[in-house]
Amino acid sequence: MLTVPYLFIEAFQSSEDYYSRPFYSSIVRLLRFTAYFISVFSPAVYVALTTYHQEMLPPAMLYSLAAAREGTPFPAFVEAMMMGIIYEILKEAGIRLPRPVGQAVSIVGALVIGESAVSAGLIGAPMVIVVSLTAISSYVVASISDTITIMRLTYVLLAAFMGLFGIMIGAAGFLTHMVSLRSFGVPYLAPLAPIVTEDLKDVFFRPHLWSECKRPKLIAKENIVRVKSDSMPKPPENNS
Amino acid sequence: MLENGKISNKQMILIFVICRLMLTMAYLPYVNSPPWNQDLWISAILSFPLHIILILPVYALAMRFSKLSLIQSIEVILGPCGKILGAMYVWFFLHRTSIILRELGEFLTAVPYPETPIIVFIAVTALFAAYAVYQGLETICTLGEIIAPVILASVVLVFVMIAKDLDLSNLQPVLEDGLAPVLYGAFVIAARTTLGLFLWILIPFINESGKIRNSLLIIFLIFALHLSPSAIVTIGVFGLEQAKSLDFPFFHVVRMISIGDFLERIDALFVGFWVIGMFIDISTHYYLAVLTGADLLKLKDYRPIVLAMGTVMVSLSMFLADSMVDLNEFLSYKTLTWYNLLFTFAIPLLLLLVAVVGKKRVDY
Repeated sequence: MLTVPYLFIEAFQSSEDYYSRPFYSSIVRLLRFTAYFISVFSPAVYVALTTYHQEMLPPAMLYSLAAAREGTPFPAFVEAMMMGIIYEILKEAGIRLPRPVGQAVSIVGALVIGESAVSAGLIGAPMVIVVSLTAISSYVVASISDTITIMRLTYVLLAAFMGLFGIMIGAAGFLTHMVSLRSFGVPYLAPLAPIVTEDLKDVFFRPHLWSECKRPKLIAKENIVRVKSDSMPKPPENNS
Repeated sequence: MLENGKISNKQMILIFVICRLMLTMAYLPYVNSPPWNQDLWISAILSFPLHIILILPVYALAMRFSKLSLIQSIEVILGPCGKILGAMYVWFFLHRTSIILRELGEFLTAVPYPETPIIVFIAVTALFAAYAVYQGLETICTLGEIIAPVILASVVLVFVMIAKDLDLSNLQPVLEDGLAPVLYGAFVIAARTTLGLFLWILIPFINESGKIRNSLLIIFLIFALHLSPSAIVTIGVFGLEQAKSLDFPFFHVVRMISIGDFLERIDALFVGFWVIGMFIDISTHYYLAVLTGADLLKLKDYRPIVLAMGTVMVSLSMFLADSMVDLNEFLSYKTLTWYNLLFTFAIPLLLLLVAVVGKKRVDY
């Protein structure tokens, strides 16, 4: 099904949210935002931390990271780029292959590349963890996983050159772009920027259905009332 | 019209607040300016009424010519001679943008990246800002709208988290040298604002021009309410003498935060938000310089001169000063206050007098 306008937050609102009760749905929705940020930023942050900002890591973690990267031939940036590209190749191959052969891709991906690259000392184990975490997280918000891929590789590049500053200036650049987009006349980041206070309740949390008595303001311009406002369930008045 | 976008009142408040706050968040230049003692927080609160007084001439001018941009209204008032004054304003914004770029670079090379040449940060930031300028006013303001709440919330969070390290005895005695230096300090704080010029340039694009007065009051209130706790926190944590000797007092306050054993070293996160906030600050100033410049040259579109002006800004920011000490000399209360006042108070006041005496008015 195709709905327009397609806004950024719609990638985080799935239709199952509205069939289940609000509390668990809200948790899942926050989880989706977390997954989105993990899959966009984690390789870049890993590269930035291990290359530029070692002092930010707790000492114990720094030791184990350094021990794991001991003896690997490539800098963190090359590792991240290589694993990112290999993962994209695996993904693409998995889509193209006929189903009976599809199993082979996962075996090759998991065992040959993941396991043996580490044991052969080509790639550090933390990098494999980061890449697989990224890959899994990017499927949580599957509908924008294409932009996630582009952003992830760009951030890795920027982090390799300029560390956290690069990530942040890249984030500013991407935000500038996203803010300037419009989908069928509606700003792409609609309830977040420009802020529409009434619509913000359905962004990070899924509210009770009876409290959603108005339609999104920017989409339903005039026809804004969905149900009458006092539809909260309450006991009947003449209870006997 | 050079710009087709419109901005709402909310966007105006947030973008102005960001532009006013960001430099203060790292540099806190007022520690080394009057009143030179622990009463800085009183000065910060007292700056609220002084802000209002100092913005009055620009506000009156902007309201009188509310459909015209800065350059156009100067030309209406002064005729063809207005070009020279207009060029001065273009220079003012150009200069300001390069100062902010330089300060961003100085901060980043001083704290997180001591070995990187400063031109890297300046050029990269200017390039990304050029993209934002290219997208226009609405994009910059919407960007401010999405980032500003995060930044304001993080500042409040810093105040809460540092509260346990606060030594309020550092703030005593109150009003040690009487009220006069405190008032002078408030004047210095208020004189640094350039928001009046922002308003003057952007007033044709503001949606609800009826609410501008209230929004300005809100902006100054937010600023005073932010600066005062910053001063209390900085002086309370470090004591006056140490705070004066630090290059980036407020940043060092953030660095001191340590709650339990797990919430430490959050200064890198702070630098991250600061970079994005500075990006908005730079883009706004950059945009205003470009828009005013295009207006002065009577261009149909401001986009062709975006990159050209960016090049000038980057090189100017490199030539601006030899070192940070040199830069701080210019940015101290002795120079910058009067320099700013010339553009934000003296010239608008004269223009207003000319306009009132000459009965210059544009009827729509």
